[in-house]
Amino acid sequence: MPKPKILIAEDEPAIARLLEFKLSKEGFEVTIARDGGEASANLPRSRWDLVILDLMMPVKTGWEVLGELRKVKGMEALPVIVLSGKAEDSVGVAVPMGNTRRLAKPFAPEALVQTIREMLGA
Amino acid sequence: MAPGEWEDDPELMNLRLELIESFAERKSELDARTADFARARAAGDAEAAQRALLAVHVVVHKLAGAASSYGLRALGSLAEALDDLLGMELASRGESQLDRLPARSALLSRALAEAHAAKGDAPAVASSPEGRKLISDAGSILSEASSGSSSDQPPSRRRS
Repeated sequence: MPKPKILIAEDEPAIARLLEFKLSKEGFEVTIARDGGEASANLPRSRWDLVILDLMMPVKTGWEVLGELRKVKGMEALPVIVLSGKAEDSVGVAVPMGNTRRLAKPFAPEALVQTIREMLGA
Repeated sequence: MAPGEWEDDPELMNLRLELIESFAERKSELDARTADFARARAAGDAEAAQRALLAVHVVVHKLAGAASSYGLRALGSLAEALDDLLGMELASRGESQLDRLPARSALLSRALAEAHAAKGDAPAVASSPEGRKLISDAGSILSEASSGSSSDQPPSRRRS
């Protein structure tokens, strides 16, 4: 059975490495994009099962990437997890864009894995 | 991550040590961007001050996420507090507290130095009166903002 493919857009290398380490151990195939521009460029390059977007990234924000992604045919319902800060939460940001969940930083990697499994139905 | 999991996993510990090694560079960056902000503000250059403020926020935001994710709770709490305060400032929420930014930034800089020297966390700075005050101030402003929030759109990152 092929491993679920996850694209992670995260500009903080330490967090990206940690997520890659944890998710790889959990049986996922992980690709890291270092900013929003790289995430956009990676979107059409594979058949992703799930995308994880940090909100505050250089080049393009997570919101911008999410907006682009939802316009791509076949990605309208792609599971997406957005990683937000507490301040971003406290100003009342909703997630109006389809099959998307928000996880507030800092989060336990276990919570992320659980959210991924729920969204993938795995 | 469960307590003890870091110590029990050499690969995780190596990742954490890599992060801690980066603290010296992050401290320099934080100090430099904060100095840029103070200089621009003193010169009355609002545009340069705003650019510097955004640059400080990026450094702090990345540190907050990384430290907390790696189980460095004391350093993470301080960085999160300053990240939250700067996030609210940039979203124009609450009373502006930019006068306090240099002192708050210096506090986080001291925490980075402590964590780097200890190859671990920064409990001394976090539990100092200034550290507790920073965390408390952030909690208060977030709580006020949450109770008064009604927007359901992504926030602007810049003051208009």
